[in-house]
Amino acid sequence: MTDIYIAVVCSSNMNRSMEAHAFLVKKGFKVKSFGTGEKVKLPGASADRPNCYEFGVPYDDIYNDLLEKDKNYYTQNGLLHMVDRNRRIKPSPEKFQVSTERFDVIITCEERVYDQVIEWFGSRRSVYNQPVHVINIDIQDNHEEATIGAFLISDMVTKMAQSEDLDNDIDELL
Amino acid sequence: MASKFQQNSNIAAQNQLAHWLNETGMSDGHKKADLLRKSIELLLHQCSHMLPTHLENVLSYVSDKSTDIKKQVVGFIEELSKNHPQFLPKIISQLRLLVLDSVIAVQKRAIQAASIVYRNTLLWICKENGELSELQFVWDNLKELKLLVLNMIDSDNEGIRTHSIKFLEEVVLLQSPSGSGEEDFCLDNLPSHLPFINRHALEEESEHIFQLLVKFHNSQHISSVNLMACMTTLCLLAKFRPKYMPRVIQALGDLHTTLPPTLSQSQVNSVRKQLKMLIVNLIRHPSSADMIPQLTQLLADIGMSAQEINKLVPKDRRYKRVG
Repeated sequence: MTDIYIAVVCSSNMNRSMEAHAFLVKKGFKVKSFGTGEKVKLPGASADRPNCYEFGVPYDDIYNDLLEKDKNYYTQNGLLHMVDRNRRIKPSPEKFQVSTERFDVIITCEERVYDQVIEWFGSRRSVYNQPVHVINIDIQDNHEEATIGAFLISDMVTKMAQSEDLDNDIDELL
Repeated sequence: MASKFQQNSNIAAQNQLAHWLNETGMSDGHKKADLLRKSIELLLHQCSHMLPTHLENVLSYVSDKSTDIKKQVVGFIEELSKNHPQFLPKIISQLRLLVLDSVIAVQKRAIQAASIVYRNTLLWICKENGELSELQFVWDNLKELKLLVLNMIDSDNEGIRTHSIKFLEEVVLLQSPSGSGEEDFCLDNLPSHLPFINRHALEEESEHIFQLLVKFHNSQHISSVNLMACMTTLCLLAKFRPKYMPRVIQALGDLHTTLPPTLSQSQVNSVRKQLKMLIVNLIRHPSSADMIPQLTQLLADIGMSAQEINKLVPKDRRYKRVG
């Protein structure tokens, strides 16, 4: 097994990327997760009034905010459970565009997120001239799909880690 | 008091460094790699005055059997070229050895570092702090290193080819006049009086490498990963060196009409998507101002609607589409 450094990216770093993050960490992979959106968005009481937070606001604070707003509602729709899971993994949602880390593979969970990642790389000069593989896997933004998506990502990453020379094998592998 | 404390902590760091380096020599496996990583960290950041004493010791791991250790030596060389370029004459030949290493992963890391070392060497030459013979020695080594990587674009290994493309991208940028008005290192910054530097020859060489990249980009047997890397490289060159813009647009147009037959359907989709994104990106960049009609035509060929295209073109440049 080779030691690959993975980033999983979705829009808000709440559901899809965190589900995969949790799964990959359990399997012993070196992984980080991010969101590419302007803000961290969670469903609110109605479709036109989502709960918005800045990246960097701790999951703890988001949890308490939701708890205060409507404990019953956010327990029933699973949001509190999800944020609670997240805060056990890392302190707060992170914005991809702020990170300066160098990954071997970046996995995005939606085509729009993939576009934002590529756009961000295209808008600046490289510092280290290090290529990175960016792979998109479309995952719908709900709990069930996030779980299935995490399985798929984990399968793919496991195959990647088994490769002795990922750059050479990735075309075939995908 | 403060200075005494400083002195004591310096001595402690030096002792620690000597201890770790000795331990590195006597260890193996993960422990050895970990000790070397810590030694390099200390040597570069806290005990850089000890570099003349311990440099050879660290460089001797260039022939170690562990991939991780050799990659660390590459990182050490890369960092030295940036913050302590006076050691370039001592490290440049080691980097050449690493580019030729028998392990692919080490080779790739060394090629990646080579582009950074190349840039840092040019900056160092511009400052002319070293002896002329030393400058020339480093320059000659770099020339050979460049030739080595240039030939690697035909390597059997996919990753080596990708890394070579990225290295050559850097060489073209460094060896061509800016012309884009952006604050960045370019050929114009190189001193003209040094006997071993011939600006004209360097520019010719960058032109030759650019043509090589275009040829590689349009070859029929290119893999999808390399193709996408090459497309990105050509577009970056067009942005920073606008003189290449017309030929890059031509190359992208040729690619659109004749995609490599070896690509699978999903790869074709990825390449087309990348092509569209890159062209959109080019349109938004100021250096494409004179080429908007060609770029919008290309987008129309790809299948974008006139309305979508119109939205992309910056307002102040829209009139040029009819002109």
